[in-house]
Amino acid sequence: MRAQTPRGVKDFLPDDALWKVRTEQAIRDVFERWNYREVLSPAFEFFETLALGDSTYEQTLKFLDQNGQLLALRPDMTTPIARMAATRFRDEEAPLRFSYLANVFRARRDYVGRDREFFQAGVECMGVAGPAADAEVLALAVDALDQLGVESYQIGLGHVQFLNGLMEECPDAEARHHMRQALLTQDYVCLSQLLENSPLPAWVRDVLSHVARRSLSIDELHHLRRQVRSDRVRQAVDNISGIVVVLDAHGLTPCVRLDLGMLKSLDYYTGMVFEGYVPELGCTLFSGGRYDDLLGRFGRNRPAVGFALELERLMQVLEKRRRKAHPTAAALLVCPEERSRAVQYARQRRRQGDVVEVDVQDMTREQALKYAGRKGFTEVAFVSDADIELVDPTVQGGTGRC
Amino acid sequence: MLSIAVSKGRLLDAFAELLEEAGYPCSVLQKATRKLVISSSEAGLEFILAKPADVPTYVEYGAADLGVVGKDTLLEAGKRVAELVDLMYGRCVMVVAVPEAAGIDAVTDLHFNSRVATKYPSIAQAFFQQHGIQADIIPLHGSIELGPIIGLADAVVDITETGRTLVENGLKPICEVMESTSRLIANPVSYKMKAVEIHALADALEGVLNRENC
Repeated sequence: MRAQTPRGVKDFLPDDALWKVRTEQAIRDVFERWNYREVLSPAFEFFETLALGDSTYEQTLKFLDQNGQLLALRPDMTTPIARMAATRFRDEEAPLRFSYLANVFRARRDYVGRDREFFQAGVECMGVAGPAADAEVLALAVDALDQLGVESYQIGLGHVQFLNGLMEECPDAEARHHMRQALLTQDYVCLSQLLENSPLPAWVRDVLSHVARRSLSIDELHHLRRQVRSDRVRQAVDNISGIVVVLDAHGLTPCVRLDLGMLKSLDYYTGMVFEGYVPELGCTLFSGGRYDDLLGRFGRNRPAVGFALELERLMQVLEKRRRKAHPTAAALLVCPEERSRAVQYARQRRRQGDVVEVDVQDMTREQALKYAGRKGFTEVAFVSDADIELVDPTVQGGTGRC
Repeated sequence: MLSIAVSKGRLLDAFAELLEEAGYPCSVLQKATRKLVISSSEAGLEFILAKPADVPTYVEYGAADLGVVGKDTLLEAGKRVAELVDLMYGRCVMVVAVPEAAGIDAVTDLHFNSRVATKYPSIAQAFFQQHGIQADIIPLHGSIELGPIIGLADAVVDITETGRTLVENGLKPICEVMESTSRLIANPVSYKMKAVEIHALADALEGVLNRENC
């Protein structure tokens, strides 16, 4: 018998499970108020289906079924939702607003944390392109953090087409690949060496080495637009400016920094991308972006934007406030000296909203009081033919009758 | 306050010197002490003294905002951190070396499934794979040169500054794997959230390095 769990999965014991459910509920309430409707999807699908998304072959946990079909556990929820939207909501009027709270599975994570099963909460807004939808998704992520009481978060906002446009100016495909790789892994030493030796126009080199290291203010962004000689880059700048205008309306500009050197994935995102950070975490708390090509891979070409928030990381951030927010539930033990009256009394109290446990071990009075003390019960009721005696187990010999 | 994970020894002295020149006073590092966390309030820095191989881990998890570590160690660790500045010191070369007497002059001469002792199993594995050579990598923690002498390995992959230790143990380098220098690395989130402080430090260090290069 193997009584251990495999690497990278975990049990949630009662306190942790309660804490997780409460946190999820708070997020679910926010999603509902923005009318992002929750969907569920199967835990596993055809590998081929999931391979159309952002995860690599190595990242996916795969297995064969009895028919020799290659199946995989979902590495994210975006791909299943894109499949759903492209097939079951083919002709539905846009925008399609979906949300999820689900466990996802990875054979290997690309950074901090070795979990193979972990939990995400997120939304997808499908069928609409444009800055208003981009900004809405970001604003929704921030609203969830606000509602949960997360403080001092920051959001980095970038744009894939901005970098792609700059790279296009480099005629050498291999050099392009290496530069993208350096940006993706944040190897700025390698990037500056590549820039030095590259045949890029001077303005591209200047812009790239600047944005790789610095975030920009809006003024700097406008100034940069004048330097730009590429239509694609200029369009990306205009798109970012448009998003910032809407973010401003949401009141979000103070916590957003323009981080145009951000590259999150090699060829999945197609427009703006963003990441959320908090000082307590060495890794991102949530991340998302626009992925206009994904639904098309399922046969219904529609633009889309979304984000995923890492639930366990969020719980880690909120951990300190947890004991205060969720004290052990007040409970009551009924000692069934007279069992039928006891269970009726217990039922009555539960209907009133109390947490009630009925003794099933025939404890003596003394044992019951000790048990209640150990478990942190606030009240013990001794039920007999004649009456119900309420005792405070924390007070020696303290009694009250009703 | 920025926290920096560094490893003790010669390389720390070089880094301290560089910091001083860059305008970050850190005489606290010169005092002999057994403390593992040393603060310099003048410089706004907190030094965390770690084993070299642990520096990337501290930084990946954000236990330290920054770290100083050799490119060799960084590449071997394969951690997700931002690499900011090439500090130019601690220069060394990683080589494949074989016993003088073996009569081997190139990696392609290594026989099928040769045993290779190394402190850098990931880098060595990737290197041999790239060259289409099947090698049996034997990870060791130190005294790599001992491998061929006692018949544990046919070759070694190790770093060398001058090549002297290799020669003294009857080994000759036959191929360069990579060059390494010390790097300033950052936790990806610290790099965003403490951008101003980190850029100020990185710029000051680069300023000193550029002046020295001229």
